[in-house]
Amino acid sequence: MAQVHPLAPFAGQFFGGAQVLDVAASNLFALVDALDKLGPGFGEDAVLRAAFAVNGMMQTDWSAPLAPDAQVMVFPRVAGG
Amino acid sequence: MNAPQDKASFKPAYDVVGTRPVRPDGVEKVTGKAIYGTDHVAAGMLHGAILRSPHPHARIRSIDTRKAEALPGVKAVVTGADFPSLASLEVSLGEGSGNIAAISRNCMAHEKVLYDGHAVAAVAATSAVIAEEAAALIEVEYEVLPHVLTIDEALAPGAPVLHEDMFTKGLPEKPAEPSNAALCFTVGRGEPDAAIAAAHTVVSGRYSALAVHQGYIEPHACVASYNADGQVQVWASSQGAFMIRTLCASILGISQADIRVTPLEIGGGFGGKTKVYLEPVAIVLSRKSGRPVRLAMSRADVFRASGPAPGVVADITVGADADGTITGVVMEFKMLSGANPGNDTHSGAMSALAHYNVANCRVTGWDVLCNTAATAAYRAPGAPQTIFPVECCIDEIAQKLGLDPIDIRLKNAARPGDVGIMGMPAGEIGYAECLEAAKAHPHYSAPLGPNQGRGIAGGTWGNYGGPSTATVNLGEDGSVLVTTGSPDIGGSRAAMAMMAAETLEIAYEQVRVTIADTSSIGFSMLTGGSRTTFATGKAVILACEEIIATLRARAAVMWSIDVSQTEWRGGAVHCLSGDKAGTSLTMGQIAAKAGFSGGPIAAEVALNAQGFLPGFGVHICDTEVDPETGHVSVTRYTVVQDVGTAIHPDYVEGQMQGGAAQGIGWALNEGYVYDKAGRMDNPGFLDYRMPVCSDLPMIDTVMVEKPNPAHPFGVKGVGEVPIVPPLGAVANAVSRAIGLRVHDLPLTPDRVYAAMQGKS
Repeated sequence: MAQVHPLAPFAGQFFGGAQVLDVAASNLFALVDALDKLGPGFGEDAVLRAAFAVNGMMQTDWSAPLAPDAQVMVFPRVAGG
Repeated sequence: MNAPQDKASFKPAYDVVGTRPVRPDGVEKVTGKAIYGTDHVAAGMLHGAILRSPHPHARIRSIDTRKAEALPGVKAVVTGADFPSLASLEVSLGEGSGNIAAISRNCMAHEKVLYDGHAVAAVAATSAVIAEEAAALIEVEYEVLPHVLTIDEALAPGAPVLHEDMFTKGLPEKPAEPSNAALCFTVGRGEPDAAIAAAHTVVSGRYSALAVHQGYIEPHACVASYNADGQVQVWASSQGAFMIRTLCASILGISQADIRVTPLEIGGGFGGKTKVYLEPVAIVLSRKSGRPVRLAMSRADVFRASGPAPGVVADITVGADADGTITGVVMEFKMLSGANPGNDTHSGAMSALAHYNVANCRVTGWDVLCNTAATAAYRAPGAPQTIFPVECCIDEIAQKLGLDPIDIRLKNAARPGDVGIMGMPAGEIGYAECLEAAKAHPHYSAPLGPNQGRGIAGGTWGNYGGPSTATVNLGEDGSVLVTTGSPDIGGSRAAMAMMAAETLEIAYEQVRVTIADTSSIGFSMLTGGSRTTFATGKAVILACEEIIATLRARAAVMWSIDVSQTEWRGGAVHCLSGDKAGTSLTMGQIAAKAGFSGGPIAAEVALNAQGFLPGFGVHICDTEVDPETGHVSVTRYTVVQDVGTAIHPDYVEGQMQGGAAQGIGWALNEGYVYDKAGRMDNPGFLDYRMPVCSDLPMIDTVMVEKPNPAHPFGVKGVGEVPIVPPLGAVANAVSRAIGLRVHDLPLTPDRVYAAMQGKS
């Protein structure tokens, strides 16, 4: 199970303030689907606003394989200039 | 410049990377042949003009365009009624997202105007003079509404609300009433309040900075042509042709395949050209008139209607141990984002402490709206505003504890493996190396004169990767044509050519680079986020590697050997076995026979570049303050930056110098000023005072090259970091020069003089 750490605003908005969620997922597409079931609406929001870091590295390729023990951070996406 | 001038002493591992060849677009630009936004001409083109609101907040009761339409030479008049009425819908825009209805209404107001300069109508006519005359004939009946310009005004109970459907996001409960606070966002860890209570030394303060414009030389401009069959062409100067295509298609309900955007040369962007303002309007004018239409902003339009960076007010408290270890930080900041929700609050909060290890911290950001132009990115968006108070407080702590300002930063600096405020361990970052380099620089130990002070500040920005496409084609003579979809803002044509030449092991002059239109190459995210040399460069390198593989395979067939018996070296395929062992075929020799083998030699790579790393910088600033006037002169300035591998050091140093100059302007001179009626008081370069060459010393640069292991040549982004430290560096230098701290930017002579008088 991947350990997901949703940060603000996602933790409060979708997951009741949970700091850690255990999710079985083979990649970030599957992980977002699973998180959407836990927090309805997260999937749509994630496409627009979420950034993911997997094991300490930013990951924008949602198709990349996710290790069973992956540590996944979820935080707001930011745009540069 | 501190960078060595020849590759032998600088980058012995590479032949081309790290050298300083002439830029391939240089001659065209210095001879005036390059085509920028206002240079493009289409056959039968009309000239457009936009009528802008004189009110900062008003309801549009009616618009009467009859007099304008009756003027000879006028071919079309459009208002918000000519635009689709869009639902409030968020669309993905690469790194971030945006509300397409708000973006559309920012291009052309529908029911309300939200700031002085908001577009309310547009005209296309046979000449620019007629278009301007016609625009002045349009009669708009406004119901003027009360407006808000400052954070206090915007958040006051009973304040006029810009968007009646906007409720603050990010709060535990949805508020009962709409307000001008678009977002509240908090990040943190540990027990900051307790840590500060137990700290040996505590400093606090309220800091502010005004909204500032990116100040690009070239105003926004475009030409649009809507054909009778519904296909559209747009020629525009921007940071992203694909961004224009996406937004115009979404706003106007046109298939992306029906819009072809050709990028023209760009005279500066700095984040400010990551949005559309004119392009959808020009398309609608062209559709209505049946002819191509050019729209261009005046300088006043640029200031009034295109996004500045948001201003900020920040309250901060920092606690430290006696040895200078920062034990706790609490900061609450409010970004003044203008007429629509901004993008700087998240990044400001996440960047504020990203260059330090702070065990206990809480950073809360608010996105606050007011009746000024909707803000846009400006280099590292959000970071200068939030790192400025942090760097000032660290300087104060150093002074209180009698510590060297670089030593205290070294003590607290984020290093590889350290877990940051967002819970991520840092990769191969070079902040500590930058601090060490700054400390070793002769500038840092040079004596100061009377009324002078020296300031230090650090800073960081996260950078980005993302999607890019590149193609590489071989000419029949073996020359190399690289094509990308990334507008060249800071010399990326040269960087792409150099990375291609390095990969192919050929001369730089053998490679030419073209920036293609959106129908001629696959998608590339805009040039921004310090991503192009990293991400598009990676696509170019991989495409070149595919070319090498193809050339080896073709040569192997010619030699009747297995490809494993070939070797790529020095821009040629070498035969390792068989009758031809010891011979070689150049790219030109193989390309000349391409028609006898597998056909043209080409490769295309489309990727989503991963592995980007943040950049870090440390700036040293000397200022001299005139005790009689309060005028601040920057007498010496040095930029030290972790740049990864510098592909073309001139352009890296140019980014460092340019960002520093812009940050110095933010600190000393610049700021949006409004009158009581809510109209911008300084919409021109005479009154909006950006630094010019005579205001600044030669800015010295030190490139700290700590390569990014996730890039073939070690590239990190460099364009955004250098605007982050100057606000703190200048403020700290002035503080040390006059013996007291001025918390509010810009540090104009009147403000500094008043502070000095207060002291005496």
